[in-house]
Amino acid sequence: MLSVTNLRKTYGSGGQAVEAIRDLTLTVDKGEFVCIVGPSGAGKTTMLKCLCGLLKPSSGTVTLDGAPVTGPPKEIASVFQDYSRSLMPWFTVQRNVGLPLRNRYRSAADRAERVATALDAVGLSGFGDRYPWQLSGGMQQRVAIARGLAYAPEILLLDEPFASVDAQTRADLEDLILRVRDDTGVTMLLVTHDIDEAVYLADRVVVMSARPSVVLETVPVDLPRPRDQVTTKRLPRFAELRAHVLTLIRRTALDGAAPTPDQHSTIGARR
Amino acid sequence: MRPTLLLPVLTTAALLGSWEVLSGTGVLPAEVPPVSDIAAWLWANIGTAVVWTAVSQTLAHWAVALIVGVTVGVLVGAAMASVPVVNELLLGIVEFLRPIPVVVYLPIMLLLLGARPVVVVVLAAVAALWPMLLQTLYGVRDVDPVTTDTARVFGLTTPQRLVWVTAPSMLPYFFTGLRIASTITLLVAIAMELIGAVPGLGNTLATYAGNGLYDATYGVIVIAGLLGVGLNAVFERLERRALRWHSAYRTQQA
Amino acid sequence: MRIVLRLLVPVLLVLLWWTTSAGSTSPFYPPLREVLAAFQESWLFTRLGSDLVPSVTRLLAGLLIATVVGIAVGAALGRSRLLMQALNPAVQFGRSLPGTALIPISVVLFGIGDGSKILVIAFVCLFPVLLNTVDAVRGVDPHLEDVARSYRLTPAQRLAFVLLPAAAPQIFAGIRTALGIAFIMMVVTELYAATNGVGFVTLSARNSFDVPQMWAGTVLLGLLGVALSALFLVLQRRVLSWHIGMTERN
Repeated sequence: MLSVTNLRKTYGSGGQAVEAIRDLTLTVDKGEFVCIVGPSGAGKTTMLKCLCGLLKPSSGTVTLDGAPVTGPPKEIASVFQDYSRSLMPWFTVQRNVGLPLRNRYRSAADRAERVATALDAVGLSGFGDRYPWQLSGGMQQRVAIARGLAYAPEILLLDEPFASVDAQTRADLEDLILRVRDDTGVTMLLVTHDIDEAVYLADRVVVMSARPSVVLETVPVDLPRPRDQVTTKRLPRFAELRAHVLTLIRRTALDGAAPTPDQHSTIGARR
Repeated sequence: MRPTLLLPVLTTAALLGSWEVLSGTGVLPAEVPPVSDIAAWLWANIGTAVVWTAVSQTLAHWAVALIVGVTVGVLVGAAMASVPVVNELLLGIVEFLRPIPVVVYLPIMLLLLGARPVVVVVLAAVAALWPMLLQTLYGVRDVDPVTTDTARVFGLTTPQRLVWVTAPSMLPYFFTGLRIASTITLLVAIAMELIGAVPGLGNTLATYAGNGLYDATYGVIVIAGLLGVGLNAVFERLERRALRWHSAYRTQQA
Repeated sequence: MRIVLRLLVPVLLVLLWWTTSAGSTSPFYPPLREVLAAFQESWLFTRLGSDLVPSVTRLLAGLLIATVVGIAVGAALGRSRLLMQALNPAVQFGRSLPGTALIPISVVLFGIGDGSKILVIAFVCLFPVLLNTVDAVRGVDPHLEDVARSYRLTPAQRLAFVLLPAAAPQIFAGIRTALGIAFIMMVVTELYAATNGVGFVTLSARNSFDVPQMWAGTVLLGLLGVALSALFLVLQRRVLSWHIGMTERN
């Protein structure tokens, strides 16, 4: 279980200090799929970096199964937003996926096996010898996902993973992520600014306010699984949830600063 | 003093201080005089005619060579970049001659022309020519075709386009070439003076070192270094100014 | 057609050299035939081991030392702003100093043997490699470092698999500059004082008025410059094939 308590992060100091995150508390249970949405500039990436130990929180705690996170934990793998800047262009796809496994498997054969399995899981078998820049954007992001999966994490953090691909590829990648989750049972924490995506994917949607960020509301998503791009999105309940989250985001984006969490909302509590 | 200034001053002082101590205590060989002796020589001689003559001779070689090399380099480069036939004709010979360092020609030049300043200037000019030629080639080729088309649409004449479109786009490359050319020209000029015994800093160095005047040898090395620092600073400032509006197109040729 | 045009001028120049020198009686401008004869006599292959090999060895040794030290120190200076600030005056002076000015004192200190020459070549070549490495390491995309850290790569792995490959294109640009300077330094050290080497042979030919031998030495040095540059390009194309592929794609 990943749990975040009263997380606060400010950049800089003195009069020039920027408060990115004011107060975040949330937990992600084992096997859960949690999506975090917020308006652009809501400190979502900052939060993820605190969760995976890349940034030190100014105050508050991040714990993983009870142990405080002080550096990148081996149970967490990350998929970053900009695939073109997260894959090493000097390595082939296989070497990119295998790079983080060097400290886990001594033998190259073991590594190769895991890499092959991961590439197969994202539908990229046969592309291991290509270089990332020889692939399309969607394929590159699948390589990044394979790299995360090969690492065999308990939790996969995804930072706006589909923000820079076209709409059709985006839908394909969303379904890929759902399938991977069903196959592996890995806990997923995905950050996005796309409300449809969040509602479509998640068990719970955590709505963040504009900067300085707080949690506005946690919305349980009671849509049936398995989900489908057409049938799920046609459900009245999908529209309801979507509208609810959108209202929250609109309000906070307009207000700018962090409002008090909306107490009057009832929709999220229904189950 | 700001901490960003204090640190380099302190480390440099520490470096020079340890040199002084190592030399004074005889750890370093006698051919490496203490910093204080070098400083004393510089203090006593920096205003003398001997030093200034040598500096001005080297600077004269450098300046004439740079002007000749830059002019030829830009003209040939521009001709190659804008006239395809010229490019095809000259590319083979340029590709062949460019990797050959000019010092290669020194013995022959000394044989043909003797140890005269003109040898220094000719060879240093050839050294300056290559970076200029290449940068000009890159520069002219890099002129945005959209800009050229725009200029044509607005009815600019060819000379106008040259002045208002081609020249400004080329400027960053020109200054990058100039900086590289300046460095290499100074290096080569001093080498020529050294080998050919042509009057200048290089020859002065050889004379002092040969006669065991080590304070003076290091003094002249310091002067040559400061000359390099000064010229570098000037050309880098020019380059930065030219690149300010063009930084995205900067080449890594340097 | 292009090849023909490109070869036209070089071929014409050689022909011009051949015809104008054929009947030459000037002692300074011997017939090309004699130059080629001297070239064959000296460099194919009598002096190859005794003079060409020492020259090239010194050049490559100096360049290698400069590359290794330059990358190591450059990476350290590129990572630590404080260290770079502290050493900035020394580095600025070192890279601006015309390297050839150090040759007389290096002879006084270390003699005219291989060690002295290798040292002075290495010192002068150090700065282009070092400064390019500093620049390159500073320019490495922080995203890649986040990836490396989040997947718990060790510092050594981060250096070998992320930092250095990312910096490699610019480091190569620095080594290429250094190669040109190394060649100049090699020739000048041999012209200044030496007991062997191509430059030495060429200059001593002048003292014994063996003019065809001088021309032959000059031709050899020219060919050597071309060959080294070509070899370097082949090496670069191999090591940076990913970068070339990526650039061509964009």
